[in-house]
Amino acid sequence: MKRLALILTVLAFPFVLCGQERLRDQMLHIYELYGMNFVYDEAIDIDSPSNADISKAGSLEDALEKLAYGNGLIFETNKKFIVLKKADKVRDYIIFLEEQRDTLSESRITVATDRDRNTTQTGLMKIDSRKFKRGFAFMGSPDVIKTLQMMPGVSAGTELMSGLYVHGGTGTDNLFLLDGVPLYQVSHLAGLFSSFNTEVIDNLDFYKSGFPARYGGRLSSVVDVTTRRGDMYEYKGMFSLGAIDGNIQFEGPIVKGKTSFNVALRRSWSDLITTPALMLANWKYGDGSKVFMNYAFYDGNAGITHIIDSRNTLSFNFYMGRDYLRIRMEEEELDNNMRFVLNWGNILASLKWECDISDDLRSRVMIYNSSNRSRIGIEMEGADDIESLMMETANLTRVNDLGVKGDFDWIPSPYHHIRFGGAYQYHIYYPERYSNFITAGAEPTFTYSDKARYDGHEPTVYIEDEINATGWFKVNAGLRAATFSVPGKTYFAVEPRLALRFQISSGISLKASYTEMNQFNHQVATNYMDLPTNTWMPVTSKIRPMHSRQIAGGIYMNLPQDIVLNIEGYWKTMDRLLEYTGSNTLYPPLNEWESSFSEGKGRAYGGEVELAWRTGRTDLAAYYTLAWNERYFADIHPLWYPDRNDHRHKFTFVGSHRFGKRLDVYAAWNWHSGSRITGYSHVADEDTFYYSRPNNIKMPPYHRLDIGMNFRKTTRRGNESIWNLSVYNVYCRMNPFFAFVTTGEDGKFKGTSIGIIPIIPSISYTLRF
Amino acid sequence: MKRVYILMAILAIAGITACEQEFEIIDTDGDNRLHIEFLPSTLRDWHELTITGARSINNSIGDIETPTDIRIRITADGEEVRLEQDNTSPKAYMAFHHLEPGQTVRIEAEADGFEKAYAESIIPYPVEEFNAALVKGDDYSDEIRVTVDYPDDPDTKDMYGAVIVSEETHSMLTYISHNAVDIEMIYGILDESPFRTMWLRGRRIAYWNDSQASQDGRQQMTLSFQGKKNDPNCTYRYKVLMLKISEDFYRYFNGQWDRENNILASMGLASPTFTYTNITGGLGVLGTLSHTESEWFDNPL
Repeated sequence: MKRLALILTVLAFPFVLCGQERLRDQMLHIYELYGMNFVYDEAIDIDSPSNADISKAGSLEDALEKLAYGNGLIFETNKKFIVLKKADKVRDYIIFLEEQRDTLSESRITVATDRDRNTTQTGLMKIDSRKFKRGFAFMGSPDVIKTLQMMPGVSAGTELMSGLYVHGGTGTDNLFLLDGVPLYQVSHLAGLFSSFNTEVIDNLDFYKSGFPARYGGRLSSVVDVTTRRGDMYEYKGMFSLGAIDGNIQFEGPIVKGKTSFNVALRRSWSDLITTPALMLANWKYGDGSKVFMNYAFYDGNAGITHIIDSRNTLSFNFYMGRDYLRIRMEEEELDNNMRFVLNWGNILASLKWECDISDDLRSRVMIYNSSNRSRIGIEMEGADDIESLMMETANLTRVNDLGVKGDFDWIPSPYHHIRFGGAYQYHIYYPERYSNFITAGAEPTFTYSDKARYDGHEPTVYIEDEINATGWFKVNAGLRAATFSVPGKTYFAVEPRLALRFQISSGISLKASYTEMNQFNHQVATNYMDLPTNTWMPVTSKIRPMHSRQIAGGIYMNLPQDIVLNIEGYWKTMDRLLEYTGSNTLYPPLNEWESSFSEGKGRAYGGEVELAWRTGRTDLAAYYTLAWNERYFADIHPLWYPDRNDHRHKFTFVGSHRFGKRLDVYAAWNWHSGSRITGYSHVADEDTFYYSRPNNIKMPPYHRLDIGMNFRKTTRRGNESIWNLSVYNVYCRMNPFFAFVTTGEDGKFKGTSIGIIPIIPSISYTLRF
Repeated sequence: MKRVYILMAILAIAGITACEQEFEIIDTDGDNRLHIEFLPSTLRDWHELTITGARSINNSIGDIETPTDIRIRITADGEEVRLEQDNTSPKAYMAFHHLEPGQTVRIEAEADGFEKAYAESIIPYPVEEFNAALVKGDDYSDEIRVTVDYPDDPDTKDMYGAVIVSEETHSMLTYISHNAVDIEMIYGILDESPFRTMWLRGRRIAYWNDSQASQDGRQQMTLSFQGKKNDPNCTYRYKVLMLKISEDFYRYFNGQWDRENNILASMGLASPTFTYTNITGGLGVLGTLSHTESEWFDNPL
């Protein structure tokens, strides 16, 4: 930091003597006052005279506003530096050579440059918090998963749920990281909302292919979410109230310039209405039968960051999220009570130490705990003429991960950027199922209990080198090794990773990648619905890890007039996938659960096109995906068959525009080929039906239009208030939720689909202070 | 009753907004096909075959009669098997041949307007050295529990089955009849039984795979059924037929069971597993099985 100050001071001196301040001078002045580094768009000439007067600025925010708006710029805070961009030509950027969670020393400050041209990774999307906040807000709340579902190569699965089927994946093979900690349950309200609060998100990296060696453990995608550190100098926050939930966020310094906090709480509020409404109904109708029901979800994020010195930072992050649904029915006359309880949630905690060991070497060491728990239970109490009865049955799912990991970032020369590290995770899976049936009469008590505990030890190491061979050719070569030990078996996997980039011209690059991934756990589910009762289980001596190979490549172009055109293709194979082939039950058996599953294969291939035009005010993008997604399970069918999410075509058009400071609007139109179901394909004797293969029937196409707008206003106290109006499914297309084959009166066969999601308008209010 | 109305109202929110739409379906598999069900075994020297013409749902309305000019050829290790049509049904045939374990059975069928269908299956080698035990199940009913203990090779994927045969001896009328008893599950209501059952030619067969825990290279399976107590005029005894069934047999009837019982799969909310066939160009199954018999056990009741 001091080196930058010195450099800037020396360079600024002659110009200061000439009288008029340059932009560079003012940046230096802000640095001296507040200790903030700057990163600026290379298109900005920081030696040009500044039109801003920052001499009377009362705070950092005030000074930055004057600096930026006076010179046609916009700014944003990113970690411990300020990013300056041209207001009329906002470009996506990366801080070159930086990982999102690393601190940045002044020797690595560089001009911002175009994202797509410089990374070697294919299938990478970096989304910052600004894009979430300006994107569609379902029920008034921006959502991470719903934003990702619109990306090319991603299928959403069941409408409104938080399914993420990436490049033909199974939906349970996505690695979600929250500040580096794995998160198992990523949805609230049966998938309507994701577990990520966009108010604390700083950045999100979404990988569909070309996974760097530092990521592993899942087959299909990595969603790496980083939360924002609290502001080191000022207190600020927000409050919002939407159609379903409320959100409050507050951050600020504990010790100015040294320690900060960032806290956010979100809670649904519908139970505040349904609970008293039901109590009133029970009282009014008062015939001895009463019903009580309430559902709520809440989550909280908390982070404390402490800068020990210029080279060391300590941070603590905590997340807790929970959903619960309770239904209670009482019949006084018969003395019968029934209670149904469903609750699920996550708790994450991590302690991280980041250290700039030297100018070339950085480290990040973290210990963490991640636990996921869900419970579904039914209790019944009653009395008949003879005796009293009590029955209780419950199913619990629990996963606990304890982990420690170290990541190192080493730049020994301008031609090499080496990352290496290792981790150890101790997984504990302990599902439980029990049932008690107690009578007060002569019959004995029946008790059933089934518990299992599966421990898994997973050490991993990796190394990758980003080699800048020449200005036009770059390669990222890496290797990851992982073992997973369970009783009776140890699995060992080596995963090569390779990504290449050829710079054809200043605006065009070609990329290619090859990756292998292994997954050592499975979400054991008897159905496609993303129910919290689904159970995570590790591999066993009989169930092997899932494995995938993926080749991806494409051409990425920054064309004139701010047009971006990216064309990417992929081919992916998946082995040792699991499909439930047990009986019709909500819960598979715990002991020897492997016998209820069959092993098979999958393959997915296709191409994606992204065409976008992005300026400071307007953002238009069109995505097209052409994809095939197939499965082969010998126990189900002897040949390859289409997966239920085999959507051949997918179009997405997204647009947003900012009308000045007060109004911005958003619209998105999604269309994709229909999902697949299994229906009978042949008939004999009019009433004997046969099925030739799975997923043989294609449902009608899915499409919907969403629009939204934000009305912004500055209050008398100088705070920003935002009214959001949004409409989901504007033309009320009742997209098929499921379908079946029937026979019409004329004897012809036809499909009948059922759609249940209509137009959903919503409104929310947000206050930023 | 009010309670029910309140809950129904909550569920009706989805119902009110639910919308049905019809759409045209075009199955990619648009050919008419022959449906074959042929399960030769070592149990008898005659084997039933049913063959039906199935029309694709793509085709226009109207019945499609089972073709009368089906040309069927069945071989066992290349040797032609004698085939006769069953007079009771145009779909039924009888194949006469003594089959041995290890033999390859092949069926080919053709008819005008249908794709040629064919399949092959190998008669599995029977389970040897299996032990069976019959005991009284509990003090409250006439339940009899049968435990079979059999060797299993962990390196191969094997499928097993069992049939319980009862023998009634009527002293007054001096005749003996053999019946297959109805085998039941014995596991608790929250756990899936490790085996499934099916009716096949008047017999209840329990079938399962080899994913159970093994000990010293052997596995066990326990089944139960409702027996009958002996009385002065009628006595009972029982025998166990231990089956080794082919993988195709197992997969096909697993799918049948799933289609009849898996509500979630029929709604498209779970994996469909009822589409298995090993008939190339057709539908249905050629499945084989072999058997080993136990001794007769006296009635434990």
